[in-house]
Amino acid sequence: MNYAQHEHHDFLGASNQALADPPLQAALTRLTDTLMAGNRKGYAALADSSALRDHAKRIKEHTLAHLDRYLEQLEASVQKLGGRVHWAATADDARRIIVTIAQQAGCQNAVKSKSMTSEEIHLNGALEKAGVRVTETDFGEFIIQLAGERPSHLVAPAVHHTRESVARVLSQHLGQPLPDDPKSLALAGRRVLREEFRRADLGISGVNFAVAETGSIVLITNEGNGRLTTTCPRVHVALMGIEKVIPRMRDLPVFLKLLARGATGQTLSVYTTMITGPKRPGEQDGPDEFHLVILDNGRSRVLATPFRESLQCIRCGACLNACPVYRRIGGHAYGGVYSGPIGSILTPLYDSVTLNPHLPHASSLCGACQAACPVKINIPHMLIGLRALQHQHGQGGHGGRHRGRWESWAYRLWSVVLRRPWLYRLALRGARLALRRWDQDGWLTRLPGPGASWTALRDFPAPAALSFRQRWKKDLE
Amino acid sequence: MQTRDTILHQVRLAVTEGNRLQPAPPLPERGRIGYQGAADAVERFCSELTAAGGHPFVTPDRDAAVQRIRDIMQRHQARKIALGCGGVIEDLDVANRLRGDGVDMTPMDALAAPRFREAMFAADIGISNVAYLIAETGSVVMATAPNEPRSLSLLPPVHIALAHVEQILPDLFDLFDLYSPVADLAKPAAPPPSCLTLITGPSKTGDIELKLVTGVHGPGELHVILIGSQ
Amino acid sequence: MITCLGDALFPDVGVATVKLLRRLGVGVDFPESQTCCGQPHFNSGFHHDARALAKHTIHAFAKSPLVVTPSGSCAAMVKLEYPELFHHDPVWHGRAEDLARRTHELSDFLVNVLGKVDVGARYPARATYHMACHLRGLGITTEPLRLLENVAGLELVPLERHDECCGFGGSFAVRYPAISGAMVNDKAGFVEKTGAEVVVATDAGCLMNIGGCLRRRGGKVRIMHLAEVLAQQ
Ligand code: SF4
Repeated sequence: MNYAQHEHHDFLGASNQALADPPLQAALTRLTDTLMAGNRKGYAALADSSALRDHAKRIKEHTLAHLDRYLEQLEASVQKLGGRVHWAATADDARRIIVTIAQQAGCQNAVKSKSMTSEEIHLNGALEKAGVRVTETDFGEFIIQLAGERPSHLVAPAVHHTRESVARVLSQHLGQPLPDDPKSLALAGRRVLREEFRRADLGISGVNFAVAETGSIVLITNEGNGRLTTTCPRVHVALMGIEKVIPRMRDLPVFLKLLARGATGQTLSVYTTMITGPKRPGEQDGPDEFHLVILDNGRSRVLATPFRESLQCIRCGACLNACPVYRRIGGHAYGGVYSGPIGSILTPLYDSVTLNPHLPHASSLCGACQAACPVKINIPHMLIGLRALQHQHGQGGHGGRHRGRWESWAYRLWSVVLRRPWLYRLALRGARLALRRWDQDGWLTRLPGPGASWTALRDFPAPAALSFRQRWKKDLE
Repeated sequence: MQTRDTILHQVRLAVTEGNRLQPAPPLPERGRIGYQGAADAVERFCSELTAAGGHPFVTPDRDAAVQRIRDIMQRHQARKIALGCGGVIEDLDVANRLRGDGVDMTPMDALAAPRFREAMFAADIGISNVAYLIAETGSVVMATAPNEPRSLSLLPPVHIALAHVEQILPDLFDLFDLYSPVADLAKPAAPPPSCLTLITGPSKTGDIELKLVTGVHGPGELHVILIGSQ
Repeated sequence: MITCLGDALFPDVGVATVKLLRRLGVGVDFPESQTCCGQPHFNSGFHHDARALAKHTIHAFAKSPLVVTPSGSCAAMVKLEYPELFHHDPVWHGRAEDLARRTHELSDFLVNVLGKVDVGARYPARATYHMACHLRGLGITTEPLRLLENVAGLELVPLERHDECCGFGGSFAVRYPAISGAMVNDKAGFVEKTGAEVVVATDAGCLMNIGGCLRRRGGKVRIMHLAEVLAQQ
């Protein structure tokens, strides 16, 4: 199975299907008034949030520029406190490492707190195959797991569900009908999952940040499942991508101040937990074993390229909420583990540029993502960079090689014309004459060629009888 | 070991290669950017905690503090209380003053491992001390230690945290500077505890139609009783 | 700078811009060798072609002390992308930075260079304002609104999600008509809900997209460029 990809699916089909799905559209519209509005309110409430976001970005830039050093420091700090560090070059390595840890410690019941990195390596299947029961404990993830689906949002994995569909899924699991109000559904979830925590002997978590200086890993949740996962079972395995390290404890609050504000508008998420090694002597709870799995899985390859900036992502989901395209087609249409604007960068980069032809193009480059991002990642730029990369692979947006070549010739020709004003004037006149027969008081209702997909939904302004440059000559000069 | 070295080697090459494309900036120092320390820390703490859905209660009067605990217990008809040790809990003599109330009180230092776990899963209310409070965010900070277990503020459906107003830090930065002081202050860094948790309000989920529901995994109610001088 | 879309499709916008600037005492010239800033090429990932067009444009405006364009997207291209494009070419990088410094989007020029929010315009109508995406990148969030607020007789009504993209995005609108269509239909719906007679924007792309959609929906709302409103007296 491949990195960031579940399937190489039909983007156009999936997005059209999403557009024609009223409950999904209603769910996505809700994002605008809740999380997206929260993002703006959150930044506005922090006096110098823009300067702090620049500062956070600089910390990430610095860390990535010395990543080898900070990873070694992190490893040493974790080991000093009795934690074990494992290195995984690929998803396969990571799965094998975690299965081995479970087997050696004799674990049979695993609870997981939400981790996109574990989705990326498709961990659950590997554990189940080795005879370890796995339960997702983030309420949204739990629903997704019961429904046999995959997350459609970085921080709100079940955002595509309605209360009715959640009630259906949970009722079926419990074998008793549940009312469909959110409160009783959540409390039913609490009861079921409490039993899982009581029984669990293995806790698997992701890592929001790892502090090189102290060897602490940071987990952020609103529900508290991250805390339960790292408190109840006797073994804790934390899985992180190499880009999650930050240098010092005092750099951490810079991100904490931005993460929740950017993601939901909260001042801080409900639970921010810093775990430094396993349980210490005399303490009554906490895991006996602490394992940190450090995953590369293609990240070092990206680190060497102009796409390095994508490794600054702290997976807050703000760019998804801000994106007008995501809010029309939802997360599943993207086909990858990561969706939305950042997913459109990660999936082609880590999976394949050629097999994901649509993602870099399915954006109007409106920049709402960058404006919302706590570390101001220039997502539009990277999308454009990926488009350029596609041309190097001799491929256009879609329709394969043939169309790609045609397109690149068209742009070349266009640029040749544009650099010769006399040719440009001639072309303009030609276009006006050619389009005149569709002109209805200044608008075209039909266009030939690729323009047809414009006029399928809206009219197109007809070229004016006199261009600006003609009128300049005539009246203004 | 071999994978480790391969990965680190690759990262080193990638760092060098990527640094050629964009220069490596130095690790920036923060200065005052983003510092939110306000004049009235107690007031800020209470308003932030309230906004996060928690219940602050400030009193100079110890009897009022104990009475507040009793009210919460009665409202929930709590039978089983998990009780922390030392600190404000001992100052207020909570164990003895609530003993007459007909509840089953389990102080943390009295339990061996297997019974501890069961008591924690069964408790109706957890009463704990805190390490610090953060005014900026309305958070209570729990530092794990012997007799300060993680479960106390996590497993029972109601959490009551007791603190002195002097424990309030104005800003998140102030907390993390304790563990990672700015070099020129020449203060030694405190080693972080095995688990340091910032709690900001009751447990919440928005996973069903983005509607906030409290108490999904952690406590559904958070009370912070602050013993103040005013 | 009146670039390709404005030249061919919306010449009135250019004419209004010239008249407005002259009314405010600014001398205006139009170097005729200009054509297109190269943004379509750049956005589609044809950096080589974009660089050639950038050089052409830098050349065309070599002698202009200040460049004003009634297009946020051209201004963004020149100000934000040109220097980037010549990252590794010290000579052209310098020239690009120089042009970037001299270039201003119209509302930015009026408010922040001329220091005017009241340009003496009068236009009695009920209007609403859509914020073009490229203004976000340029950090121009309030200037057009402040100019509109000072137009005599103009009643400005707020637009729901006024800064959400209208779904134009150049080739995006043609490649993904369904997604782009959903976006522009929402936008047109919000515009119609305001009850305004006119929707004002600062970019040809938004105007053709929103205007084309409004017309197809059969509504009566007109589209106007900010310059056209400000030129009215
Ligand atoms: S790209 Fe930025 S906004 Fe998007 S998830 Fe990553 S950090 Fe958040």
